[in-house]
Amino acid sequence: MEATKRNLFKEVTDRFRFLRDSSIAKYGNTQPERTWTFEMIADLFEKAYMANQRGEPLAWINFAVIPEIFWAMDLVPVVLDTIHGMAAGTPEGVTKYIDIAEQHIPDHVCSDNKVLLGAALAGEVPIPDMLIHPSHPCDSNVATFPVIAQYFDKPYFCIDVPYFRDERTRQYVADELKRLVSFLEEVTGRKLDMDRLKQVMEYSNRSHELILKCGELRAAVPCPYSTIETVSEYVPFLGLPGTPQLVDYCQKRYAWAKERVGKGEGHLRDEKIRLVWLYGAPVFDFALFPWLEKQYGAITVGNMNSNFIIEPVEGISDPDNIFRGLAEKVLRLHMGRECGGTWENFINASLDHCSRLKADAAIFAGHIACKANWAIMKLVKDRISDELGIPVLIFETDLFDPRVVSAEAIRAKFADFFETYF
Amino acid sequence: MLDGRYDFLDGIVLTDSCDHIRRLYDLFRVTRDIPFLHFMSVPHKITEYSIGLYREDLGTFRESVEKAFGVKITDASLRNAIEVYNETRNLLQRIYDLRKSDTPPLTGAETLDIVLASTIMPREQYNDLLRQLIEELHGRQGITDYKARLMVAGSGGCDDPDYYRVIEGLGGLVVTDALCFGARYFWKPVELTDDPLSDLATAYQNRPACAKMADQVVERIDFIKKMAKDFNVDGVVYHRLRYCDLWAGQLLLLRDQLNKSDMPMLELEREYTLGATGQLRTRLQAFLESLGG
Repeated sequence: MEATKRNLFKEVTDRFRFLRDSSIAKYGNTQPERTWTFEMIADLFEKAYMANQRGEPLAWINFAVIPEIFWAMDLVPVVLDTIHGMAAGTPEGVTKYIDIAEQHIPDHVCSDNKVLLGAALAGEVPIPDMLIHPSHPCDSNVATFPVIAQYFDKPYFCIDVPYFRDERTRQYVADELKRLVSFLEEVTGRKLDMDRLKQVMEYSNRSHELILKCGELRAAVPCPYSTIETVSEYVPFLGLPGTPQLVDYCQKRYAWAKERVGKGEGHLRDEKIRLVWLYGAPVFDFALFPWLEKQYGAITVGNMNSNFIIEPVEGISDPDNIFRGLAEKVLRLHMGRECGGTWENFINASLDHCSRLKADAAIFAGHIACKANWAIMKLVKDRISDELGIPVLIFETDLFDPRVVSAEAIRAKFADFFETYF
Repeated sequence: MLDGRYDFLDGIVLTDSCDHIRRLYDLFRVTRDIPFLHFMSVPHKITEYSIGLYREDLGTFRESVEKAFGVKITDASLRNAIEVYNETRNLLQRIYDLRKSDTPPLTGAETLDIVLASTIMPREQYNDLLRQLIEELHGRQGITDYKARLMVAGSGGCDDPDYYRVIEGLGGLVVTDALCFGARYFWKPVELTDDPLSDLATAYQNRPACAKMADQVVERIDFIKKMAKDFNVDGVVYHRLRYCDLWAGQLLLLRDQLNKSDMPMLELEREYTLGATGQLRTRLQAFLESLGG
């Protein structure tokens, strides 16, 4: 009998509804904040699922593409990396997609991209109507997005991002975003309404203002957030800026965090070690985070993927300001900010992240395919240790694939690390 | 670099062709005191805007060379250099054309030796030697004892003629390629107008592209297919360096496209230095047998 095909949009939606319901069952109405992020993630992928069911155009984008333009054109942008991350943590995981992809492309390509290719070939993620990604931060995206687009005969747009971060680059990327709008208009037959874009930017600005404030509160000792909240917030923060839904979430989250900090309440009663992850974390094993909290009193206060330092865009009545502001956002979204351009981008962001959040230790979960980061990690480790006086744990893993380095092996690395330094 | 082997160099120029090279730039800056180290950003797609941006960067590069070495690079001297290099391109194309024959006068390894020499020799002298060589090749007896005509395509690390010698030692004859140290290096001339920097930017952006050019997927495969057809090859050896993601991604489409064209393809993964030749020979032998050789 043929196995039932998955639909990752629906599966992630159902998964996070289940997590929400489980939380409600466990805590009743006493801790509603535990369900907020789950609900947001479920809603985001439900939007994609429903849009696909209704035959509306879907756009596949990656982690360094801004969603605001898409929402302004009533297009659902699916940030693929977030669905891979969330699906990796489901019981079935995503390893089968990696295996399918490796029948076509070599194993050393990033598993994030292999999951995308494999799921598309398996017909378990809806094929989009267009694919968009920027040229930074890594070869793996450039290697796969245009080829997948061509393979499925779908329109494709690359936001070309020059190497150095300066005013010229910002203007060039702003112009690229205007060309992206022309592309979207041609593909969908819809015109971008500038008044609608302005409204979207108002929502986006309000969200980013609150995200910055929440980021400041996360620096409190003890940290008001749980690790799960910190590492999973990147999903709505990537996909929903420009929507009123994210504004509501951020307002609730800010009020909640502010109250907790005011009372001196932390997620852990006895917070012993504050961790900042300099890169991603193994998303196939979300149980790692409560284990770190319970076993060692080690809370993750910062994770590169959730480190949104996006300033609201000023002067949004002028479309040029909007595009320049969104260009700045393309350069400052995580991964692109750290891993694109020169190594100073990585170390400066990491030093700021660790010092701002009062980290006791930094973690580099070295994604095996991320060659650009492995190349500089010794430099990064030395600088962080020298300047901040904190230890850095470096270990190899595949963020999506537990077969490369198992969850148990990763726990053993942490155990050795904590035993040595704390 | 770290052991001082290249200390005789006065400078190094790198581009963001791939993650490996761009991080090499970072590591050079941090670990070595290199008198002149220049990094050029190269666009990832071809548009009038990207060519304009690249033209600006070529201007910056010109200025930094002038400043570092106390020289003046005029438009006239650039035009002159372009003409000399175009002559190289033209002569190398003529050599490649000779390989279209049923009895090519050169092996693939010899051809790669010739192309590699262009990267280190003074160009006027090199062009003189190429002209002499072309005359000599017209009188040379062609190669007949080969089992199959092959094309080599793929990623960097293609600057080792010994790799071709392994292929040709088994009876395959490399008659053309789509490599950065091969046809893609010289296939299109620089068209001269009144702004040589724009001419260079246009030409270098429009030449048969490395896989880093995101919007050139179709063109890249079409170039491979056209070269295979023009040189009447029996099969394509697609080799790529391990960890070269850019060329790895092309496989999805290339395999499919060559299949549709009934063009056999052997895919090989390799390290930069020639190694595991036993395994390489076994795979090549099997491929040649499958081609009927």
